[in-house]
Amino acid sequence: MKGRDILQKLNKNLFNPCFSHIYIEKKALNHPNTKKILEHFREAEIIEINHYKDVFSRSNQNYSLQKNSLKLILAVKKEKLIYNGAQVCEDFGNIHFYYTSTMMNCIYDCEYCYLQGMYTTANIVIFVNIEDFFSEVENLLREHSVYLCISYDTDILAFENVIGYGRKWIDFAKKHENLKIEIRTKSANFKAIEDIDAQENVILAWTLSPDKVIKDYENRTPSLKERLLSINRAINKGWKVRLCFDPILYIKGWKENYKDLIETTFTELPGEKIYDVSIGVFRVPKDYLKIMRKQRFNSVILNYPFETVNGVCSYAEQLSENMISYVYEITKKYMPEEKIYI
Amino acid sequence: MFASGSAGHSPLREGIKMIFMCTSMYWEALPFIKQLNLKRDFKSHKFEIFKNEEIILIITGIGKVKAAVAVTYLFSKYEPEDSDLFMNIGVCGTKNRNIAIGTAFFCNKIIENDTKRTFYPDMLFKHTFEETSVETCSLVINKEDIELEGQLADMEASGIYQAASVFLQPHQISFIKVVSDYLNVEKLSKDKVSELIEDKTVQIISWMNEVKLGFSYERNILSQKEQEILNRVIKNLKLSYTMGMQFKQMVTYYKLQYGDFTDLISMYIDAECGSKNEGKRYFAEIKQKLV
Repeated sequence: MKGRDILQKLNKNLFNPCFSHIYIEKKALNHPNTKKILEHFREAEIIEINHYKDVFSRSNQNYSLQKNSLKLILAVKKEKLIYNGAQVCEDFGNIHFYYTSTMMNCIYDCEYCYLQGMYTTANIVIFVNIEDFFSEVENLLREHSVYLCISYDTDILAFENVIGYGRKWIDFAKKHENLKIEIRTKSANFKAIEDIDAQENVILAWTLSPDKVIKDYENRTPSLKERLLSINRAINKGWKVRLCFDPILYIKGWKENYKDLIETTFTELPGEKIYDVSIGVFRVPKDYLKIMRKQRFNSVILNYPFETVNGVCSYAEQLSENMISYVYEITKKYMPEEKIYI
Repeated sequence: MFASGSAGHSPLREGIKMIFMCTSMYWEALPFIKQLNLKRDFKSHKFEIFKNEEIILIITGIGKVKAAVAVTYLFSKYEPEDSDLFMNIGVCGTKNRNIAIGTAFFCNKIIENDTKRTFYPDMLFKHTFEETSVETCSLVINKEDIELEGQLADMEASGIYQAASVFLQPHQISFIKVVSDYLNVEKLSKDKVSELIEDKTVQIISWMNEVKLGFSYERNILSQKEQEILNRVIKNLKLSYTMGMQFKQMVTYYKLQYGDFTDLISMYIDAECGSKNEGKRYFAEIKQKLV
């Protein structure tokens, strides 16, 4: 019997349903976005809080158990709203690379997700004052053009039916030609924004994984088939679509699995209409990995004996190169090299 | 099931999930002592403790400081584990006369009246109680001279939460409060306290049983015996601390991915290395096999 099979006994019926409780900062109570969100959760227990960190940043929370009963925290963020792009993230050749988090955490439950090392909780925060985020972006835009990723530490499109932040960001981008935004998702929820005309300066980016990875390690996410259907609809509507084969995971039979993934992807999607592709292996800051292993102590993905270079843990150099070049070579059959980012 | 708890002579920590409980007064504890057949632990002199094989109940005394000290004493004496649970049960007051005396609440927010600091137990598990907030006051209060943000008022919850959260995760800590008065405690007798709690004892025990049966986990991937084997190999091969950690990580990965690893490393269990270099060569060999 493998180690991970003998460790846990959890009766899922024991848990409150997700969003059974909504924590709301007093200053967020009367914000129109709060009212809009609450319409979706009429049965939820409402708990007033002073500051979102009183709930979000409690010590010693159990991230993986919380995934069974996610709570929602509605807050107003006033301090730093826009961040410089991280070094481990691909900038796709953009000089002024930033990211922002109008939401923190995600409804999905991916075993390898870096958020479980970055945040002390699995609970989801929505900053209802999106207008302040827009103002700060406008301040930057007065100085130079901006490339802004808005769905890194969350999955905005997966939550679109509740708050519609994808739509709001797209509307905002429409008014600012020198702003380019990327909305990254694992969802199959393009239908939620299907009625909006494609925007030249908005990239819809889908993370794609082999079915085996989705089934075993990307709990609650849509299947590859569903994601590809959603992408196809986006392409047909004229949207710029980015495909992210990232993170590539070293699993048993990784070659066959990733070969199937890429071949299926480009059988279903017209390669010539894909904006670009990014490829990357699993990598995570050392400090995050330590916490992630504690949270998912029985994860075969996270317990791989990674090597650490400059504070970042990943597969050994040779293995990483093999994995990337293998995926790259197959992708190259369908996409011009200049559109593939490593 | 807890109700069949026996005299509590067997050792308490042998892989059994524990339910820790605390009440501020003996009269709040009494219905549980009777129902669960808890026996006094005469080895505890500072606080009254009652227990059986699965439950340990401590009587903290009144007030948040005493309560915090008692909880610290409890968890220092009986070290809690990740799948254990802890609950505070007691009577409380309320200003709200729409709430009937005898109503039991699960508390989702604790407010400390003195500091206005707030604490939030994680509400992961389903239950059959109503929910509300409780405000912990330092003194016995009457409705005329205090402003309360919490629906309920008690004298211990904030101290209990702060002490317990040093030892436990926030989902392991629960507060069930039974309304006993409208902030006029002088009318409250000891028997009435017991009676109010007794009315809710079955409901509380039933919830405890449900959580206990549905939830447990063991956090160690490697068994004690496997750990011993690894330590022996590390010693035999004269591996450095870092290499030893890498070795354990590789073995953990192997076990999760493929299962039993002992055959693969059996030849190193009795190996004796003459030098660190020889150990390094063996280490490289093991790495090839495991990853």
